[in-house]
Amino acid sequence: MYSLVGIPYAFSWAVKDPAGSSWSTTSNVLSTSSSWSFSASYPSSFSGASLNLPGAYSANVSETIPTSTPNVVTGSFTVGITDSVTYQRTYPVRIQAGGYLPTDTVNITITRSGDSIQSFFSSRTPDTNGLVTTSWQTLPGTATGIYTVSVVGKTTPPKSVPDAQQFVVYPTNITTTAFGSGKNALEKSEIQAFRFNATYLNGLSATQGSSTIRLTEPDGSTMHLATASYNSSLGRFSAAFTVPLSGETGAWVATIDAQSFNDPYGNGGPLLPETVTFNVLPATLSVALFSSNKVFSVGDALTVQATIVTPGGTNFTQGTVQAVMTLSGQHVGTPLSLTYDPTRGEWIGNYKVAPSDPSGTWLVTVTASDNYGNTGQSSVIDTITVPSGQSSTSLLWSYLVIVLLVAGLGFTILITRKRGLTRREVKLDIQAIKSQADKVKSDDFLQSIQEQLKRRKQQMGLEKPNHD
Amino acid sequence: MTRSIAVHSYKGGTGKTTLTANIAVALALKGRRVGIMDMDLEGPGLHVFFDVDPSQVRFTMNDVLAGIAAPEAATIRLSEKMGFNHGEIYYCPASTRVAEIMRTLKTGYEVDMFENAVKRLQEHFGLHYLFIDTHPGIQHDTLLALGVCDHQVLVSRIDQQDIFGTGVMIEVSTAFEKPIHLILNLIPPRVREAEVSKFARALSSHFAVDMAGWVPFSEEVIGSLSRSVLTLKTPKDPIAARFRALAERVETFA
Repeated sequence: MYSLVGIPYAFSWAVKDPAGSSWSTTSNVLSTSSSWSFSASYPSSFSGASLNLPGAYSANVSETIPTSTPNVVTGSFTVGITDSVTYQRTYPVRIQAGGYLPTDTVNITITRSGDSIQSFFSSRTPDTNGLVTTSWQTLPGTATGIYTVSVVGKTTPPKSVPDAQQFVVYPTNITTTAFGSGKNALEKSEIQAFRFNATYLNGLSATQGSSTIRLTEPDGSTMHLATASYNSSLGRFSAAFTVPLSGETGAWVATIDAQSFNDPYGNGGPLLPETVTFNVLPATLSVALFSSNKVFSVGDALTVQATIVTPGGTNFTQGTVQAVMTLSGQHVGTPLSLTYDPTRGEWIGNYKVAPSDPSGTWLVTVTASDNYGNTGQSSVIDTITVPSGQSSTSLLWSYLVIVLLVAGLGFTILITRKRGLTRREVKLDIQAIKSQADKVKSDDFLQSIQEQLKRRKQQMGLEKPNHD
Repeated sequence: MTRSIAVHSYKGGTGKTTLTANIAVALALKGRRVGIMDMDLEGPGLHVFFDVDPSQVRFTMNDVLAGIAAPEAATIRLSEKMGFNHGEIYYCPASTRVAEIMRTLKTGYEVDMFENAVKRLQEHFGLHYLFIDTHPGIQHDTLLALGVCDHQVLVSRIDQQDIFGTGVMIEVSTAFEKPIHLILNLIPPRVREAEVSKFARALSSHFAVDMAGWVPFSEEVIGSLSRSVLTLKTPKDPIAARFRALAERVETFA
């Protein structure tokens, strides 16, 4: 048995630099097993060698002991004067070249298609080792393509291989973060706001460009688009989208699709889509009625006028609007259909007071609805007078009205100012105040406000634990 | 502790804005950091009191509510202009441009935009008090503002319509479960203090609200044409003393 351990070996190394000069060294090693490795460092192990020349370096290793075997291993490596040969915009191009006299003044220039980059000109004094270092910061708008960087000294003798090299600049990726919606829930016709941050790879915020935000209804197939652009006041990208009255209620998904964001220079992003979900509720239509503030008699036309506005503030123009008249909870006549008058922006209907109608204060309730589940309601009172004997019930109603008035007076507190500028009585009619306030309180209008405040309170409660 | 106080009235012309400006300045003169937000988006008027040229205003509350500007960007520090040594006045104007007023009225605003603005201003400027001057009446946007603030101050004249509307306003405002304080303003000169006191007690009792105080009608206030703040310009005027008393009352708001 032969041992493969401890056998003396000798190798000679040769490295040829880009100028064609050869640099050599030797290695004397003892085998440690049937195979082993060893190395030599260039240029430190090669007397007189350097990495001052850019380009391809070739290397070969020949065995000299115990046998003479040339080129047992060959290889190569490349030396550049930039830290990469490809860059995405916004990354810095780091430049380093060696072999200059420490007292020299070295000019570094970058050209593209033969034209110098005006924004970059660097003049440097080498360090004590003859190294020159600088960098060029690429921007989101830096032109893409092939660039050449050249380093030339004034007093250093010209190099056999000049310090010149090409590199390529590509568009960069944009990352979108903190994508969010203004409201977690909103009613149809309201405006949903979207916001997000866009940053380049080096962390710089993007301030130009736009992105399409895709909105998907709960059915998963109906899509809408909104465009986000930079809002300098917010310092973020923002978009606004009005949820249509015909939109479906439920969870909507807003998506920034991959590569849907583009800046004016051709940089794009994000690499992966980002989504945010919000809830769409039916629109509570705000119905404002105009009280005629007069007394109607038999034969008079009671005009019901209503302005109906969506939560988003636009006029409600398409749907069904009906007015129902009641007296003490009893229906009067048949429901009255209102039609939209585009010139006035109002829904209008007329009811002719009939001799058989009951006399008294009618409550006119207008209900608006459409095919998409949006509804609204409001009421107003109108006083109708029907002469005695015309209606079998009119006398009874009159008695009721009188009884109510007397009861109302019982709740009236009078506070009289006997001395005063106006010499009038200031009445504190508690009953009338409460009655008026109850009307406001029972209106969808106030309930909608309370709902909004309640939702907001709940949101704040949910957000608090995550607040950073 | 910071408090947001909505100042409101059922009808216009109650002196609500005058009271707001004077109480705010009285508090600032006591060294407090006070914010004033003009939420009378239909008829802003605070800029006249503070002598702020609307054409020099870059952003307004209308922009804040539309998400166009940050609240602090729409804030003007008036302390130096008013010559304060310790206190601060930060003023958020509303737009006086008709097109912007119409835009805001048409679109309304989101409750979270308003609430965020209130919180942001309180935090950013370290405010002790933030007064919100609202538009009179029972309106959607105004009620939202009342619902968001910590306290509601209702201003009324002793006038049949005004008292009736204020009563309705109180009844409606109770739905928000926020403390309500009442101020009677522009008390006619020939009405005796005892009578006002009696009437105020009756109101306070009937509606179970805090009667913060009352302020007599003043030729001095009317004569200033809303162009100056009395507590600053003529601090020795008896009405200025009334405003200071109200400011002290505000400091007791829990």
